[in-house]
Amino acid sequence: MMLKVTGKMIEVRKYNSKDIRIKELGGVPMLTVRGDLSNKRFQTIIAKTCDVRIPKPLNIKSSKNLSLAWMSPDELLIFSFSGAFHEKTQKGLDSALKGLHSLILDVSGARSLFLVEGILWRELLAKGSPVDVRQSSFAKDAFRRTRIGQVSVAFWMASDNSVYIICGRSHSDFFYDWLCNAASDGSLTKYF
Amino acid sequence: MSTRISKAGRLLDRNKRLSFTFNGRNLFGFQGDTLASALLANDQVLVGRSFKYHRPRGFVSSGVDEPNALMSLGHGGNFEPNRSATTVELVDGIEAVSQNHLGSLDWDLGFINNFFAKIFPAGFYYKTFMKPRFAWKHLFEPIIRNAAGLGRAPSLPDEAAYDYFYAHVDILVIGAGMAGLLATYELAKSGLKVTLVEQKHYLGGYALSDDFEVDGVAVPKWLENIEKKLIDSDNVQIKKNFTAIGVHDHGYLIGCENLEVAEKMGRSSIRHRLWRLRTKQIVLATGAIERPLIFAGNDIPGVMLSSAALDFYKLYGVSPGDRTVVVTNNDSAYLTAINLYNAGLSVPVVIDVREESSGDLFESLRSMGIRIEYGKGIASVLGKKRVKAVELCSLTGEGSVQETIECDSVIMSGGWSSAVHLWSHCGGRLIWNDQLDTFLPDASKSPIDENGEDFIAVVGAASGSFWPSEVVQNVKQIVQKIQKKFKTSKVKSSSISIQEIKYGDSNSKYFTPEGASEKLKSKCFVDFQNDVKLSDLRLATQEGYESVEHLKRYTTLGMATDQGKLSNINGLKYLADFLGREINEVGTTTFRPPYTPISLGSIAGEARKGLFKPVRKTTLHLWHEANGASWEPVGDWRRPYAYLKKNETIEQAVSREVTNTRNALGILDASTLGKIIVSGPDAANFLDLMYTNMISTLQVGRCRYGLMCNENGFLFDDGVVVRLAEETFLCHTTTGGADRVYSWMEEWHQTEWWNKRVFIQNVTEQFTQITIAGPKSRLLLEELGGLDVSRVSLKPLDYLEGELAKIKARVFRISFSGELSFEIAVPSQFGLEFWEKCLETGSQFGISPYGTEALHVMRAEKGFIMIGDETDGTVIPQDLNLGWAVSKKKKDFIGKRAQERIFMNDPNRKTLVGLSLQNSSEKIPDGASVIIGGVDQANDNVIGHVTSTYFSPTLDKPIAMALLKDGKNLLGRSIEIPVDSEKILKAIVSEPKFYDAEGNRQND
Repeated sequence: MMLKVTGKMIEVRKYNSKDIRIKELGGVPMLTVRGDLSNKRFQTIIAKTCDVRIPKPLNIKSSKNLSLAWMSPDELLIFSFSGAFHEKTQKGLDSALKGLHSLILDVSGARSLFLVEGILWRELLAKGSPVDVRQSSFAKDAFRRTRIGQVSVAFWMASDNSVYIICGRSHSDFFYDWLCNAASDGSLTKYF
Repeated sequence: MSTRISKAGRLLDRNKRLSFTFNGRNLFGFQGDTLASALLANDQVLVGRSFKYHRPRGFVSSGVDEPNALMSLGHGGNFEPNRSATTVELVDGIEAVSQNHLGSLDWDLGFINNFFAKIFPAGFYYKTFMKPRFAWKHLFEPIIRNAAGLGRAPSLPDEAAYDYFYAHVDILVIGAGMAGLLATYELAKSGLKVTLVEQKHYLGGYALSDDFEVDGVAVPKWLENIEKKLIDSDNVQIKKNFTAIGVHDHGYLIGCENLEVAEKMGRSSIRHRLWRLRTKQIVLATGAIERPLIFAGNDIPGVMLSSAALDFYKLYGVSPGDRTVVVTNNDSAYLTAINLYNAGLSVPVVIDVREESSGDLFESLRSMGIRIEYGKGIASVLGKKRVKAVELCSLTGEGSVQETIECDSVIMSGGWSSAVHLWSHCGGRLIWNDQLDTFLPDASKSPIDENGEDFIAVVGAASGSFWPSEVVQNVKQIVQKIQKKFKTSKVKSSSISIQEIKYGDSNSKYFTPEGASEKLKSKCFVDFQNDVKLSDLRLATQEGYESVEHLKRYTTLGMATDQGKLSNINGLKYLADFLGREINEVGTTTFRPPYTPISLGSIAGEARKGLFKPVRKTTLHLWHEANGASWEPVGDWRRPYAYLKKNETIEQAVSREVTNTRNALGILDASTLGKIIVSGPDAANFLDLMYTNMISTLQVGRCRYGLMCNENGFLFDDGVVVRLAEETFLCHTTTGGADRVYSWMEEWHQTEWWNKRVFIQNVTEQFTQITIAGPKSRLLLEELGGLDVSRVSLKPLDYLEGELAKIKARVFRISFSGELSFEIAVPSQFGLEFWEKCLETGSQFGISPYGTEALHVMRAEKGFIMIGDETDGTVIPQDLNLGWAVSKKKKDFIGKRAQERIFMNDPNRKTLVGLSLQNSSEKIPDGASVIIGGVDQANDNVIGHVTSTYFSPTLDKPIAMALLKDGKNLLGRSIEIPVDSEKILKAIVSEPKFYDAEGNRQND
């Protein structure tokens, strides 16, 4: 689902091929939350602070102010839609989770975010990722941590025709080049 | 001659003429041709030279099993060697060149090898090593090197593009012959999703060349109807030009899609695409491969398989010759004979090694009046670059010639081998079937998936169902089994009526004549591409190579690019005969992927040039680039080695950077250092186990240098640990070790100490880390403002958090240079801003960036170790005088017990020392051996090696560190460092501390 960031997301760079549009976006604050996702108290605090319940494994969910992604049985990733809300969430979680074994870290600078648009986005992912990206297995709300080519990534659908991908910030130049190459004209054939 | 026949050629579009060249000659073909059929249509029967003897060779097959017609295609950056012409679809403008000849294809100087065949017997390669001693280097190696290899290696980088494609499919049917098409159709009918792949550019397989009727229509028409239905079906996907090359565990299949035609037509920018398929069920419908018969001269151009001749005629309208002699041990060559005869070509004789035959095809032949000779064989084929005649002989006996029959082509059939390769790749067992004369998949030992269930089913000729009515029955059974496995609703299988045709029994004879003389045997080719003859097999078995695996390696039988598709079974039969055993006992060699050769480009995929390997960049990368950085790869990162100013050498730059940092102010991008947060109630306790020293006693707001050893006690990483809060630590690692240390911690946490309540998070990329070093560094921080960094408030190894220059920052007072130094971490988003502020504000103090080499020089001057320089996987902390950082109080830590071994406490262990040269400004070579008592042959005098070496601009002399045996007792002594055979440097051993040993500067 779309990250409805208030104000405009920073467009770091973009590339358009015949089939695909690629944008690198900046300015989306992110929080890593570690904790026992099966713990009732932890679940309640997350739901209350984030205004959305913890998503099922391999899923992402959104509220008005943020998207919440399931990273592992003890890790969540929060994409906040504004800097102010990001800070509020971090502070809120910090105090609410006190006494419960957990860890909240600002990772806004640790990752790069890309938006890939175009009807052949599934094909583009399939060029580098072993994930099953058929409609039947990878649809709205699905969130996958995997690799694309040689880069660790996570991705989820932004809309029917677009997908968000995050990778480590230090890989963003390489990954951008990878995406542009994979999107190049004549290299994508309708498959899904 | 071979020529085009107008009334056949099912695949051709004769309105579309295509031009191509062969060895520079302009030729024409039609759309639908393969390069092979187009060459044959132009009477190009001689298409290559054999590997060892450079014998003239022609087409044997029409498909992937072709051993001879390997060609080089294209030129320059599009040059590709060793392509089988039978698998290349013709497109306009192909440039093909034949291979493996010195001089021209027609007049090959290498053919001389043929006359020296006696010096190339089985195992000749190994024999050349034996004696005489001088001969390998001066005689055999030059000859073999000259002769070796098939096509040339390309001289330019490949211009084409390749990629990968990952897909998950439910059911994958491999092979679109009659069985594969029917299985796909039936499976799809029950609602299953099926992907059908076919290595050729058309569907139908050998059935497309056959003559029987199905449901009252000719089989090609019937196949066409099924294909149409499949194309219209929503749950069927068809991929042509797709070769399944390997089956792996859990239904994982690798396939290569050939997009050359699409690329030439401008429909694809990719040439070959490597598919990685995850399947739930594989259906092998890979058919069978026809075997040659073995007789003298069976390799002369013009001798080909009966199935190939039938394909060339039916699909491409090409005749194998005007007069074709047929030799066979089964009925399938009859079909070809009938077709050639009906095309108006002459078939002077069908030589049948069987005693008799019966059946419908036999009846047809007889009614046509074609002469059949039973119980006969071929003594020899006459001709050099083209078949001229065959000599008929009795099957028994030594091969005395009964009659010479003129002809310009010979077609042969030695039976059929089921294509079971893919079945075997993943552990499927094979059993020999005497009656069908082939190896078949053993259904009782099939490849199994993660649930222990079969995931490969085999249909059609690949499973031994050779005749059409058997195929229909067999497909029906397999489809029902799969439907049951996938619990689909029951759908009645189509009722299909196959024209009833009676076939005669085949026999298992594979060479003629049975008593062939040694002279004949030395012309009887078993493996065409590698020139293995019956005489070679005889010699090898006689020399004791009785295991099939040994026979293969000794004779090179089946080791060529075709991997013995035609030759293996005949070789096995010979071995079994020789040993008097059954084929099942002899066994077969192991089939391994790839089924057919694929291009190296497809394996590389997109990972070439800039995409070859990821390069990691810090937030300051562009700044470094714009300011003269000379790069050094560290881990996957690029770090500035030094910043070059105009007209400056690297050495000058390093020297300037060191001096400036020592005297004024330096700034370094240290962002690549690993940063791992370890947090939780048990964090201190957990880190006590990870590090050799005590971490739990660290106060909040303090830093401690820590060492990590592996379970063998060897040092593998170091870094500064910071206690951010009571339960939260920040662990710095080396640049290259960041990911490894993170995984190391996770692994121990998840597998051994899973009950410790800690979270481990790698936050390396979240921060830009900047080192400010030099006597004026405190001044800069004060000028930036926001934090009290005075001597009292921020002591050595203290840590502070707050805002510096209005940017959120953590300040660690740690020093790797020996100067007063602060490491400052700011969130990556503000990294460049902070860096630029430092430079701007620091200009008044003479700030200048320094690179990794200046950093290393400064740490060496101080005697600080570098992981990877002073350590090599066999070094323990104690060797490096770091015993103080190995806790004696802790009950346990990783490496503790290993370090208690006697060997680790041997006083003779190498110890880290410093080296200073006497009266020389020469740099000591890195890694050089250190000796005492002069160079000796046995190297007994070697006492260690140089681990780090630099020219110190601070001290104006070369300095080095070394690991020396019993180093502590060598202090003050003179040692020698041999540089080359002439030169030996003399150095004095010292403590490994060259500058400010007391640490006054860093503690200022």
